[in-house]
Amino acid sequence: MEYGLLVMGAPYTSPAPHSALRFAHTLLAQGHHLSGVFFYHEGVHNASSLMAPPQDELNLHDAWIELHRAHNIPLDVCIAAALRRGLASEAEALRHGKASFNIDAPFELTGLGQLLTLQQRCDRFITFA
Amino acid sequence: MAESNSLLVIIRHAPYGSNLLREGVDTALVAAAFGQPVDLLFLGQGAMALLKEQGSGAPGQKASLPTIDMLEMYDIEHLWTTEESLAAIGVPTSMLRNDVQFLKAKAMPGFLQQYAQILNF
Amino acid sequence: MLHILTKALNSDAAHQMQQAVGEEDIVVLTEEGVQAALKTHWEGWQAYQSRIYLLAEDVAAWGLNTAVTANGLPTVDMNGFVTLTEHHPQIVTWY
Repeated sequence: MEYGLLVMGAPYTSPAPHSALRFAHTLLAQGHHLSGVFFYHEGVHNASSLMAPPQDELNLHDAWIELHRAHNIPLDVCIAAALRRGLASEAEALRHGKASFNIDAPFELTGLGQLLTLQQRCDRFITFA
Repeated sequence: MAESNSLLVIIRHAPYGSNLLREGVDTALVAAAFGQPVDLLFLGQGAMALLKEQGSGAPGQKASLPTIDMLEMYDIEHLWTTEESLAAIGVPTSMLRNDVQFLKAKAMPGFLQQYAQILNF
Repeated sequence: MLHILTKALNSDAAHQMQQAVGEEDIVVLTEEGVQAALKTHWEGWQAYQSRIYLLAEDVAAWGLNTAVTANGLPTVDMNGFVTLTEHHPQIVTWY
């Protein structure tokens, strides 16, 4: 089956990203397909390349990248929700006159239309918030 | 709504308590802009978004009322709430905007099943 | 329809979910929701009998294994949770 995930919980604030990652790995292990993960609301913070948790805690940013590398899962981040919260790619940082950026590939800034497309395309769509 | 791509956006959080209301309504607006049939259901604290006298410049935050007003421009005509939600927050119907439709909580399971997709904010 | 509750039973999320659960719907309690294991008198245990589950990994993390066993409550592990989602096209999370 085609699955899609919506992550709206912030890292280290909500257990939602951890639950979403466990669910993603489990469904993939069962032979299902994961069409994409969309990060919205506080979930956009999962995409920050500047997160640096202590060594005894999972680096969620890196955990998502690992999921992407192992299974080629698109990691889409709502651009409006990200910019509002101080998360920007190099291109967006330039556009807004900011000195630095914290969103890099494989995370992609995209519009909400992508969320709706993902939901419509998937057989199952699950929110983690 | 029987269309195969009909979407219900559920709003359960009050205007200024978090950004969930705004980001939920934004999702509904984008869906409508893409031509997807969309309804909204305001539950619990979310029903506070339906008060007609909301200020346009609430304390330092962007007001939500103009966003709610935009729904109609995008052909989102059905704003639902439940009688139980209003009772729980103590809001009489006279305080609500005129375009709100009412549902009894016990009709909710059947109501939700009408939609192909649901997003819960 | 499958409902996921991630908050404790005294939350708005829990009350709203209870209004939304239909007669054939399934309920999975995750994250904070597993605290329901301590409330054996909660009406949901009766109302959703044989279609409600606690997520086993979260039960263990919260230190509730003994309570779940003592109260004879149904659990599902992550594999079982994914399997439940296979059977329910519509999935709503209450948080």
